[in-house]
Amino acid sequence: MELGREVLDQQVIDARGVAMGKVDGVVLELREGEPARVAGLVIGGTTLLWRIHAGLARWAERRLGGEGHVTRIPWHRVLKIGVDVKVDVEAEASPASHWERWVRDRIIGRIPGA
Amino acid sequence: MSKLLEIALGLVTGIGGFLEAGSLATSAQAGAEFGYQLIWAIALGAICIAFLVEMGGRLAAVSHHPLPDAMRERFGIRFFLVPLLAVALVSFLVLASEIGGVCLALQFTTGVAFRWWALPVAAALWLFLWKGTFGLVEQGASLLGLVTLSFAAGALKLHPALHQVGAALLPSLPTHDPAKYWFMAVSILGASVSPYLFYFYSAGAVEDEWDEGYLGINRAVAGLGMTFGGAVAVAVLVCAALVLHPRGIQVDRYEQVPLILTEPLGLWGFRLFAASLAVACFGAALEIALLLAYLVAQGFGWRWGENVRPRHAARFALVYSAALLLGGLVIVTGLDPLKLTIFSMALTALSLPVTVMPLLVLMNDPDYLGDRTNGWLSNAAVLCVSVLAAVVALVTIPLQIFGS
Amino acid sequence: MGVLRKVAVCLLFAACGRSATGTAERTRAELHSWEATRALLEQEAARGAVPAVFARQLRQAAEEERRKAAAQRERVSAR
Repeated sequence: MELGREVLDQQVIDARGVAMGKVDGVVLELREGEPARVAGLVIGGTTLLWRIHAGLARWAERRLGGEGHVTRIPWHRVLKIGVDVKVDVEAEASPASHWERWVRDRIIGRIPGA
Repeated sequence: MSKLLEIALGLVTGIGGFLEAGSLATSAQAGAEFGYQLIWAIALGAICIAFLVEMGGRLAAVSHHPLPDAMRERFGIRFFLVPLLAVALVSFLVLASEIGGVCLALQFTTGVAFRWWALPVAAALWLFLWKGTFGLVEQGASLLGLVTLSFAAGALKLHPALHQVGAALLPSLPTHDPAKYWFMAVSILGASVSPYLFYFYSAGAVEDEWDEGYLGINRAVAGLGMTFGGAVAVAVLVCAALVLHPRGIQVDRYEQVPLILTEPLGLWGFRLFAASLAVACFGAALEIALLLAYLVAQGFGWRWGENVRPRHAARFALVYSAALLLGGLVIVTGLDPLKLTIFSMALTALSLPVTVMPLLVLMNDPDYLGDRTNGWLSNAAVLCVSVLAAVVALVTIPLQIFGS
Repeated sequence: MGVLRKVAVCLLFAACGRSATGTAERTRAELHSWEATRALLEQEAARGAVPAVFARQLRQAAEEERRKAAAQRERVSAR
């Protein structure tokens, strides 16, 4: 499987069919004398910034005091890879929906008719 | 819905959706300054956008990916950011122009200066998106957009020499002021081949859940819709060519443009002009605001959709709300809407290679299109027009800025 | 290919800069354009084809632009 083409930057769909973000990063497990193994997916936080510009990512992590709200999904929870990546996790319960919830509760939800 | 009804609806969308602040302004200016001569630019633009719209629809129907989503997947985040920012910036400027267009129509009818209408208009647009569905936006805007057919009525009433109009479908060299001629040609291309049109159409195809069965409809809608739409823009040009050009009137302020319809159609011409301007720009503004939200939400994998309640796609709703507010603020500053419109059209043309290339690459990728990848004609047509437009834009924009 | 060559020639032509006579000509064309606009407006207003509220706006715009073009002409001829 070509990780770059088939996994990275793919849309992630949670157990309920809700959009959860994009695969911003892939975690590889390096093993002695054996090919690397995919340990899991990473969504959110500063992960994406590292792929755009390392300096920018370092600055962001210094400001945030960490990686931000990152969701790590272990490989065994990835159900299917096709048009999107389906995972056996609930978006609402994970850090991936932190900003969506924040905008909903603090801004959008406060406007009548939402 | 029967296939014929779908095609008819698509046709209406093409007619109603083609004309907006940009094509109105550029067609009127071109007709006033150069008579029929620049009709070929409208025709070329219409052909190019027809190809692009068809591609956007085909991509959505076959791959089930909307364009921004497919772009990030295929190119990775770094190469996705470049067209994303280009399309977003250019589209935002066009959004401000459209809001300006609605405000001008209101100024013409009420006498209250356009900048005071900016925030109320932005609020009205916002309400439409907040409470409406995708179907309402798509069909409502396009049905109302049929009022732009009044330009066709005006043009016919002015009795144009049809063989001259036909002859002007072929490119010709300017008889005077070549720098202005080519700048106008480029602005017309930018007005016709707006990225937001095919990005939005692609998102729409996904919202409407198209599949491979829709490919025939897609081709019919793209081809017929853009042809009829282009014809309306030609009608605007013809009106200007027959009313303004013989009198030596150049269009330097939007206030001059209603005259092209009052001459043939009297007071009703004025009312229809104001209505056309308002409706066409309102519809375009809705589409662009939605498009900006699709771009960001789909590019970053957020929840999105115009058919869901805002709380179920909060960041998506935030993007279109912010876009409308900022667009309104641009017009509140009192910036000349005509200058803003012409400038954003030229900028659109300049950025065409960047905004079009991702779609072109995707359309030739069997991973997304299976055996429905582009034929050589689609590729050639789009590639030629984008590169040509950008090159001419690159030369004429500085000349226009430094010449005036 | 022939069209491409013609386009390149035109662009070169246009790139050869603007002269003082070019500016004077443009200013003259602008003045004429606005005078003609004013004439057409009065013609339309006389037959009731434009509402008074709009006629006022166009008259004002025409006056502003005409004044700007006249001032520009003064500057050019003073050179």
